[in-house]
Amino acid sequence: MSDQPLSRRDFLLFGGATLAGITLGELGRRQLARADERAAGGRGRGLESWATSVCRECPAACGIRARLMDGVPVKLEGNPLCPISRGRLCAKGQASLESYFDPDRLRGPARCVGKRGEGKWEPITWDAAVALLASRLRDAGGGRQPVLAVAAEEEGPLAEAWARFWTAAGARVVWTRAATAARLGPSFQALTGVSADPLFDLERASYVLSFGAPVVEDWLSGVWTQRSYGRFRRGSGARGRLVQIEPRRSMTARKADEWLAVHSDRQAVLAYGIAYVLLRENRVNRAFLDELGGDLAAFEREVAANYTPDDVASATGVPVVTVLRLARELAGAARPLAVVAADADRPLLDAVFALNALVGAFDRAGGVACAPRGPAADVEDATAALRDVAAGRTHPSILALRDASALRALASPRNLEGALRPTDLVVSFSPFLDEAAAIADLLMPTHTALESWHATLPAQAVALEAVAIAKPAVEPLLSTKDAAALLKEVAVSAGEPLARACGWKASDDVVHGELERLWALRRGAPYADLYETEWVRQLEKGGWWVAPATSSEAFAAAVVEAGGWADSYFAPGRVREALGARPGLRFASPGVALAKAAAVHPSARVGAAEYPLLLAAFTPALLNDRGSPNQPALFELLGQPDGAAWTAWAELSPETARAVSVEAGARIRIVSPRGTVEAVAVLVEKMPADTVALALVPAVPGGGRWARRIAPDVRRLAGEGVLGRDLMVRVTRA
Amino acid sequence: MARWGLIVDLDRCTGCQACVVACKHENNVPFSTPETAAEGRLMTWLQLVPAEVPGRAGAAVLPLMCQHCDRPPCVDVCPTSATYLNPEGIVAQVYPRCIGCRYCTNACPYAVKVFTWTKPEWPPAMASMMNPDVSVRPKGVVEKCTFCHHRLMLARERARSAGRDLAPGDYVPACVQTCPAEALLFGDLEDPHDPVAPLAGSARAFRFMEELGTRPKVVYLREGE
Amino acid sequence: MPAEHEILEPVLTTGPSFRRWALGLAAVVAWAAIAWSWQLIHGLGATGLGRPVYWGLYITNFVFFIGVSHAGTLISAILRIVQAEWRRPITRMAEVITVLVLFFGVGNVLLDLGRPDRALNVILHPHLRSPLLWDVTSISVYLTASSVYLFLPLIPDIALLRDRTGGWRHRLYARLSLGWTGTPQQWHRLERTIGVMAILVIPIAISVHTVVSWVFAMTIQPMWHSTIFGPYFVVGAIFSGIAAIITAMAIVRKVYRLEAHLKPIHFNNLGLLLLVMACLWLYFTFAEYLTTWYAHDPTEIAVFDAKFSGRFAPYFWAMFAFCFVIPFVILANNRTRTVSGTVVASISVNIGMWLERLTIVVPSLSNPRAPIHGFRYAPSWVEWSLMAGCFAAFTLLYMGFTKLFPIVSIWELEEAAPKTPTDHLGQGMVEVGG
Ligand SMILES: Nc1nc2c(c(=O)[nH]1)N[C@H]1C(S)=C(S)[C@@H](COP(=O)(O)OP(=O)(O)OC[C@H]3O[C@@H](n4cnc5c(=O)[nH]c(N)nc54)[C@H](O)[C@@H]3O)O[C@H]1N2
Ligand SMILES: Nc1nc2c(c(=O)[nH]1)N[C@H]1C(S)=C(S)[C@@H](COP(=O)(O)OP(=O)(O)OC[C@H]3O[C@@H](n4cnc5c(=O)[nH]c(N)nc54)[C@H](O)[C@@H]3O)O[C@H]1N2
Ligand code: SF4
Ligand code: SF4
Ligand code: SF4
Ligand code: SF4
Ligand code: SF4
Ligand SMILES: [Mo]
Repeated sequence: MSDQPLSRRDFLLFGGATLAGITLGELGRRQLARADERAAGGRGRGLESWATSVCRECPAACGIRARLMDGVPVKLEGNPLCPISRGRLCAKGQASLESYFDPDRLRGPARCVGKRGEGKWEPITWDAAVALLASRLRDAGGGRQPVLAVAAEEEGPLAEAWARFWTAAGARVVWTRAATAARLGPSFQALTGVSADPLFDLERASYVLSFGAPVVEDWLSGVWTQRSYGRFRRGSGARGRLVQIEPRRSMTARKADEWLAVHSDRQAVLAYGIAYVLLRENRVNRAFLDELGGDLAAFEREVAANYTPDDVASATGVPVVTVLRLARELAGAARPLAVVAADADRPLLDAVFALNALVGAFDRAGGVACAPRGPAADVEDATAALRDVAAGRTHPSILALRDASALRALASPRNLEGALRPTDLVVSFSPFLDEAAAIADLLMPTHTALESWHATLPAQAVALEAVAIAKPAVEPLLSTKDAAALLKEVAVSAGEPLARACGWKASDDVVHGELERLWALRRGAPYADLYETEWVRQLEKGGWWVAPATSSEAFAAAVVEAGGWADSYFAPGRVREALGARPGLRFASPGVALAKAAAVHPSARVGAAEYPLLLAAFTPALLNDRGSPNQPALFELLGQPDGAAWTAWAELSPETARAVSVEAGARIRIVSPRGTVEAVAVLVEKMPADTVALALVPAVPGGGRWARRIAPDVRRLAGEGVLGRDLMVRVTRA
Repeated sequence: MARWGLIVDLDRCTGCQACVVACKHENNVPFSTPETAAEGRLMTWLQLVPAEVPGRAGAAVLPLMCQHCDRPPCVDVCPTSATYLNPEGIVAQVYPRCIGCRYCTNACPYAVKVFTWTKPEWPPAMASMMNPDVSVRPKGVVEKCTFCHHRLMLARERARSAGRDLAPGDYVPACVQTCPAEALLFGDLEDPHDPVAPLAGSARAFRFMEELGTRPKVVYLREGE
Repeated sequence: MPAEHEILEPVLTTGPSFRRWALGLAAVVAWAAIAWSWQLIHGLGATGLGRPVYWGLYITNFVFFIGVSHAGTLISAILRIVQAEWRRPITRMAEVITVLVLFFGVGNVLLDLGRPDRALNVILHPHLRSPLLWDVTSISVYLTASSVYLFLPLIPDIALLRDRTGGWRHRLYARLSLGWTGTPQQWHRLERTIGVMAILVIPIAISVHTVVSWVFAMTIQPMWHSTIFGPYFVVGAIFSGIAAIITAMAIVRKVYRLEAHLKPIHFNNLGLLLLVMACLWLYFTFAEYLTTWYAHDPTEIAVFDAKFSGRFAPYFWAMFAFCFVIPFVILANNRTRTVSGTVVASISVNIGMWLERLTIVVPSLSNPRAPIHGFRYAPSWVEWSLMAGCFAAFTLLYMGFTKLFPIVSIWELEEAAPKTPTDHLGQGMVEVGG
C-alpha cells in the first residue's frame, strides 16, 4: 500500500495519502487525539460556560450561544440578545455543531499530487502552502493573467478583506448569490426609486399571497421569517391568511390555507391576472395610487389588453372564479401583502411588486418597506462566471474558492474540471471535504464558524441595521487558519502591491476596525434583549443616543460579548418619500410574461411526446449552501414527513404515478434528454399531472463519510448542462 | 406538584425540524445511515409525521414525540417498571432496569419509543460532542423523549442555589427553546398562571388520538380560524 | 412381556441412524449457537427487526411453541379424565413434547430480549400490571405442573428400568424412581396424584395460552385488541398440539417400530379430534375477521387488508389453506383419514399454525395506528438460524429422552391389557373417573 498512491476513495476513507511518508490521516488522527484529550481528558467534565458566536450556514447570520463543557461545545442555542434569531435557531443552525465536529474535516494544508481531482494528497506545512500560493500569485503578475476568486455572498469587513486581497491580486471577485432580499432589490428599486432592498412585514400582514416564496422554509432570513410567520398566524391580532402559489406541495404549501399549483413561469401571468381584476373592479388603493401612481395609466392599459381572466385562466390553469376570488380577497383584506421567492425571475418580481403597489402595501404595517441599509455595491454572480469557465470562455490561471457554495449551485462541478485544465492552481479555503476540495490543487483550510471571528452584516429582513460580531467561541480543533491572517501571510510572502493592500494582521484586527467604526457612528447599541432594545429605539426616536459604554474599548467588549451591534431605530416612510421625489411609481411592462407562460406548456415543447413532464427542481431548505456538506442530522430529515430520509425524492400526482404503475415509496427513474436519476416517489394529491418535482439533494461522492452516502447525484439529470426549470422529463419505474 | 405539559401550536409550526435536530443533539441520540434508516432503525425522539387531525382536510404535519400520557399504555405493560409515570407526570425510562423486551414500544399507540438495536456509535472525533447531562444508552434498551428531564434537574438546582422556587420559564426543553416559529410552549398544566394552562383548555386544543383514553400531556393546537 | 421388551429395547440400544440424526441436529444447534453469540455481541441489530415491527420471528416462535405445548399435558389430561382407553400409548410422548417445548417457548422470549443479562429483573422488579409478568407466572406454573405430570407416570417405568439395568443407568434410575417398589399403597398414591394433577393441569394449561394471547390483546393495537383472543389462542394451541402429537407419534412409531402399539385407530381418533379442532379454528377465525371487516374501523381494516389482499396475503391465505382446507379435506373423508393422511394433515396444521402466529404478530406491527413510516420486515439469517436451532434442539432433546426413558408408558399399556394381574389399577381409574 505504501508504494502505491492511494485512490481518492482511500484518501477519504483514511483521511490521508501516504506519498510523503506520513499520511494526512495519521496527522489528523494525532491532532484529533489531542483535541479529544483537551475535551475529555484530565479536567473531568462539568465546567459549563457559554460563548457567543454567529451561525454562518446561511446569510441570515443568526446569533448563537454555544454551550461549552470544559471549553468543548456540546450544544448550540440561539442568542437571545440577537435581534434576528431572538434565541432561536433553525435546523441548519442547530446542526452546524456537526460542522465543527465533522470527522472528515480537512486537518491542515495539503497539496494535490498527481492529476487534479484524483485525490492524491500530500500534507504540507502552512509555510509551504503560503509560499506556493504566493509564488503562483506573483506568476499571475498582478492581474496580467486572469484570477478568479469565489465566495458565498456576504457583506461586512471580513468579506471586504477577502475582496480587497483578491482585487489587489488582480482577480475578478465573484460571489455565490444568496437568496436574500438583495435579489429582490433591483425590481423594487425600479418600481419605487428607493435605493434599498425591500423588507416584508409578514408578521403584521393579514393576508399573504405568496408567489413561490418559501415562507415557512428559508425565505430571506430563516429564523426571522419563521418567527414572523408564527406571529402572522397567531399573534396579537386576527389570524393571518396565506395563499401559496407554487408548482409543488412544499412545506409552505402544506401550511397554507390554500395551495394553487402553478408552474413558476406562469406565476407572473396569474399576478397580472389579479392586477387586472383589481384595476377593473377598482379595488386598488386609490388614495395611494392617486397620489403616487406614476405611470399607472400605461400599466393599466397593458394589463387590460393582455391579462383578461380568461387568458390568465387558460395560461395558468387557475379557474377564472379563483382569479376573481383571489383579487377580491387581496383587496378586501385589512393588510394585504404579496410576497415572492428571492430566486424568482425578473418578470415575476416586477409583477409582485406591482401588486403590492396596487393594494398600497408600501410603508405600512404588514406591507413592504425599505431596508435601513443601502444595497450592496455591484455583486458579480459566481454562477455566471463559473459557467463561463466551464464553457471554456475564460481560463483563469488561479481559481480561489472560499467555500463550495458556487460549485454546489453549479449543475456539475465535473464539467468544470475539464475547463480548469489550463488553470495553474485551484486553491480552496474551505475547511471541509467538499466539492471545492474535490477539484483543488491546494487545500488551505480555514477555521469553522465556531473557531472564527465574525463581523457580518446579516441579510436584510428585519427593520434594523445590524452587524453580527463575535470572537472565536472555541479553540481551533485542527491545524486550520484564520482566513484574514492567512491572506495576510500570503500577501507578505507575495510582496507588493499585495502586502500593502492588506492592512490587517488577522481577523481580529478587521473586526476591531469595524467596532471602532461603529463606535464612531454614535448610534445603535450592542445586541440587547427586547425590552432594552425597545428602550433604545424610543430614545433614538427622540434623537438621543445614549452611549452604551464609556470608552470605545468597553463598547467593543460589550458588542463582542452580546454577539453584535444593532441600530434598531427605524423610520418608516422612505418608499413614499422616494416616490414623492420623482413622478411616482414606474411600472415594468407586463408584456412578456404571457408569452413566456405559453412557452412553458408541455405541448409547446420539442420532444413533448417523449418527455411529457415538467421538472420542478427544488433545493430542500435543510441543505446548507456554504457549511459542511457532511451533517448526518440533516440527511435524516430529508423528505420528512414523507419518510425519504437520506435520499433524493420526487413528488408526483397520484394520476401520473398510476400511469406508470408507481406506488408511494417506490423507487422511480426520472429521465431527461440529458441524463437519468433515481429517486423515491412521494405521491401528492392535487399536484399538477404534468409536473414532477425533484429534490436537489446533491451527492458529494468525494465528500465526508455521510455526504458520500447520499445517493443518487441528482445533478446527473442535467448531463453536461444546467438543471434549470425548462427541463422536460419522463418517469418510469426503477 | 407540577404537571408538566407541552403545547404544540400547529398553526405556528412551520415543519422546519429545528426541534428534531435540537432534540437529537441535546439527548445524545445517535445518527442513522441510509441503511439503518431503511431498516426502520432511524433513532429519533421527535419527528414530523403526516397525521389526520381535527379541523383540517388532508394530512397535517405533526411534530410527534412521547405524549407523556397520564394513562400510559406503555407503562402498564412493562414487566419491570423500567418505564413509569413520575409524580410530575413525566413518563420516564430507567435504562439500567430495562430488559429490552420491547413490549412498551408495541403497546405505545403513538409508536414513539425507539430501541437501541446496536451499541450507539459516533466517530471518535465526535465523542466530546455528547451532552454530559444525558446518559448514552447502551445497546438493547428502549428510549424516548423524556421532556428533557435533565433540564428540570438543572433548573431546580439553579433555582435552589439562587434561593428561590422554580419559576415559569426556568425549565425549557431543547425543542421548545429552539423552535423558530415559537410554536412550542412548555410549562405546568396545573399552574393557572402558566401560559400553557389556558392554552391547553382553549377551543383550539386537542390531544392526538385522544379517543384512545391515553390522556396525553402534549397538547396540540389545531390550525385554522 | 412383549410390550415391555419392544418398548424398552430402543431405550437401551442406539443405532447408527440415530447417531447420524443426532450428529446432524447437533450441527444445526451448534450453528444456532454461533448465530446466538453473534446476536449477543451485536445486539438485536443482528435481526431484521426495526421500528415499528419490534417483534418478529422470535415472538412468533414463542407463541407457536407455547401453543404446541398444549399437545401433551392438556390433551393427555383430558383423555385421562374421560378414560379414553386409546390414549394409553400416546400420553407419554405428548407430555414430553409439552415439557420440552415450553423451554423453547421461554427460550425464544430470552432470545428476543435486548438485555438477556437482565432477564431476572422481571423477578427482582416485578410490575404486576404487565401481562408479560402474568405470562412468566403462568408459564412457570405450567412448566412445573407439566413436569410433575410427566414425571409421576414415569416412576413405575423408571423402576422397571432400574431393575433391568446396571452401571450409571442403574444409579440414575435408582435415584429417579424415588424408592418405587410397586406396593399397593404406592400405586394408590400414584394414581390419586396423577388424577389430581390431570384435573389441575387443565386450567393451568388454558390459563397459559389465554395469558399469552393477552400479551397482545391487552394492548390497544389494531387486530390485537380482541376479546376472543384468549379462547382463540387456546383453540389454536390445542389444534397445533394435537397436530404435533400426531406428527411425533408417526415418527416414533416408524423409528421405533411401535406399529403394534400405535395403531391406525389412534391416528383415526386423533385425526377426528384434529378435524373438530379445525372446524373450531375456522369458527374463531371467521368470527374474528368478520367482526373486524364489518366494523371497518380504519386502523383495524388497514391490518385486515394487509392480511387479506396486501403484503401479508400470501402468508394469510397459506395459513388458511394449511390450517383448514388441507386438513379438512383429508380428515373429513374416511378413505383419506389413514395413518399417512392424518400425518399429512397434522404437518399441514403445524405449518399453518406457525403462519397464524406470524400473521398475528407481524401485520399488526407493520400497520400501526400512529402515522409513522414503516419498513419491510424480513427475518435475518440470525433469526432463521436460531429458529432452526430451536427445532433441532427440540428434536435432539426429544430423541435423548427416548434414550433414557420409554416413550410409551409401559405400565399404562400393560394395565389396559385384559390379562393384567394388577387389580389395583382399576381402582385408581375409578377414582379418577368418579
Ligand atoms: N419622572 C421623571 N420625569 C422627568 C424627568 C425625570 O428624571 N423623571 N426628567 C425631566 C427632564 S430633566 C427632562 S429634560 C424632561 C424631558 O422630557 P421631554 O422633553 O418630554 O422629552 P422626551 O420624553 O425625550 O420627548 C421628546 C419628544 O420630542 C420628539 N422629537 C424628537 N426630535 C424632535 C425634533 O427634531 N423636533 C420635534 N418637534 N420633536 C422632536 C420626540 O419624538 C418626543 O416625542 O423630562 C423631565 N421629566
Ligand atoms: N438614558 C437616558 N439618558 C439621559 C436622558 C434620558 O432620558 N435617558 N436624559 C438626559 C437629560 S435631559 C438629563 S437632564 C440628564 C440628567 O442626568 P443626571 O443629571 O445624571 O440626572 P439623574 O439621572 O436624575 O441623576 C441625578 C443624581 O443626583 C442625585 N440627587 C438627587 N437629589 C440630589 C440633591 O439634592 N443633591 C445632590 N447632590 N444630588 C442629588 C440622584 O440621587 C442622582 O444620583 O440625563 C440625560 N441622559
Ligand atoms: S436562519 Fe441561517 S443563520 Fe439563522 S440559524 Fe438558520 S442557518 Fe443559521
Ligand atoms: S421547531 Fe417549531 S416550527 Fe419547527 S418543526 Fe419544530 S415545532 Fe414546528
Ligand atoms: S406516548 Fe407512548 S411512550 Fe409516551 S407515555 Fe404515551 S404510551 Fe408511553
Ligand atoms: S423494553 Fe424495557 S421499558 Fe419497555 S417494556 Fe420491556 S423492560 Fe419495560
Ligand atoms: S422535550 Fe426534550 S426529549 Fe422531548 S422531544 Fe423535546 S427535546 Fe426531545
Ligand atoms: Mo433634562
